[in-house]
Amino acid sequence: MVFLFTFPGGCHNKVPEQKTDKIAVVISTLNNPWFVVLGESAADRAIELGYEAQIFDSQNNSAKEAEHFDNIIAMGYKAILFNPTDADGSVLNVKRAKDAGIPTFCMDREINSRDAAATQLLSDSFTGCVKLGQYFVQTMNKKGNYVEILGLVGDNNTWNRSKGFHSVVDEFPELKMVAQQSADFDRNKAMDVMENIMQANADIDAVFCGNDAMAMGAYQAVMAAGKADKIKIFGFDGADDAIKGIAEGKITATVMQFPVLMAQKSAELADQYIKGKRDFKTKTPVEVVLVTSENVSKYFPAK
Amino acid sequence: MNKIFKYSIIIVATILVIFLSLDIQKLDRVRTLNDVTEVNADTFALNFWERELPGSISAAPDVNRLLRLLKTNPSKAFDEYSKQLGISHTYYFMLKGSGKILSVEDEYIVLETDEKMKVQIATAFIFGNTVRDASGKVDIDDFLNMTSFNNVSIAINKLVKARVVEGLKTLARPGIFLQFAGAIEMTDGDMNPDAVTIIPVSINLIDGNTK
Repeated sequence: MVFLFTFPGGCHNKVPEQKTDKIAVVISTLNNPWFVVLGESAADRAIELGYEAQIFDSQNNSAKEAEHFDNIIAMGYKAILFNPTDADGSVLNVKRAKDAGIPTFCMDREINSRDAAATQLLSDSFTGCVKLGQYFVQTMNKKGNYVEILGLVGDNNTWNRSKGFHSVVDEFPELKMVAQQSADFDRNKAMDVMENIMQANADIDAVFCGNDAMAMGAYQAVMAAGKADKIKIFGFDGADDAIKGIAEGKITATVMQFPVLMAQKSAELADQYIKGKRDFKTKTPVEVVLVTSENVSKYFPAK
Repeated sequence: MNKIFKYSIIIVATILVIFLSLDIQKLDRVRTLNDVTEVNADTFALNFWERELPGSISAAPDVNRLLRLLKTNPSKAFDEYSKQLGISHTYYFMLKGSGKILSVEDEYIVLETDEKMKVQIATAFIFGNTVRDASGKVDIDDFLNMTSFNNVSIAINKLVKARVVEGLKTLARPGIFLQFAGAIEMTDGDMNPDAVTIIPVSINLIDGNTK
């Protein structure tokens, strides 16, 4: 079964009359506002550049993603703006598109290949979490018990964030990780995971979550347990509710990513490819910014 | 007869479902997909440290010149001496110089350069990509993924701690003169050249006691 999400207006009244080349936007999941912004920004920019754009929702399902690629190849799209479901599992899809003469431009999430994609624009998650880790250490005064809630285990961003964080925090022996579990970047799962962890560990001082959706889920669990004043919550993404949470003292810090920039730039690179350019860097990291109570005013209320 | 027909349909349908569920590919294609040589981060970092970094140190600007330029004409400083990674407002620099230790703190030492500028040399919080990216010698395109690329930074930072910082912490005393080389980062729009913290990659005591 193929689930096709048509970008509002993308295939109807906004289609330019003279140029009908199509660009596909394949997103890992539209069940997360952050990825909706990524997908819609990419489609918007593609339309501005004169293309027809359609968004495909993979629903975090690699089989569904493969079906989308089958359809995209069959339907003669000129390029794919791609947010993969799995760093390894998605490589073959990208290679199939390449073999069919369709370039793929990865956005935010990485695939483990040097040559399958035309290029990959990726948030510099590792560096962001090094900064977050340093702030974590300072905020915790170098000691305390903490929990780590990981994202999707098949996504490189999950491990780049975790690795950046641990490259700092593991240097401080009095900071002890008492639990580490995955919640698949999902808010509800993170709430459940945090509730279970708190039942097994009464003494928790902080939670580091691999994205803001999970940070908000963890906050809900912590608040329900009456521990919101004791447990510090750290996230990643710069989602609106997390930024608001920092301004209100609910969340301690997050790392701001720039999905609109990544999406727009990817669409522009696809346009350049279609017009003949080929010499792209394999990967381009996009800088991220640590957001805390000290600088949240720059990002709140609206980015 | 009806039963035989019904079972035949079920069997054919089952075979079809199983067949359509399979993704058959040539073995050599799958092997190619998985045949990726991972970079050994420690080996790469050691090679970088011994063969690539000396060239970056040699080409690095004098600390006094660089800091003066960052204050008076940052655009020129960025153009002439910085390296950048991807889409970013952060600029990385190698630099070198000499000076006198004014004080030894928990996480850094304070140094006064020979032109009376104050800088800090980090002796803790040696993290991130500052040395890797300031050197300009490590190309992201040589790595399979960001994880491998970032593992190199972790390995380089280990060398900084083991080969430079440990010795520096042991020998640093107020009043000692030293020569240094290192890396810094500056964020455009949020930089303070008067409060620079250098990640050291080379320290030589002026009296010839090299570390």
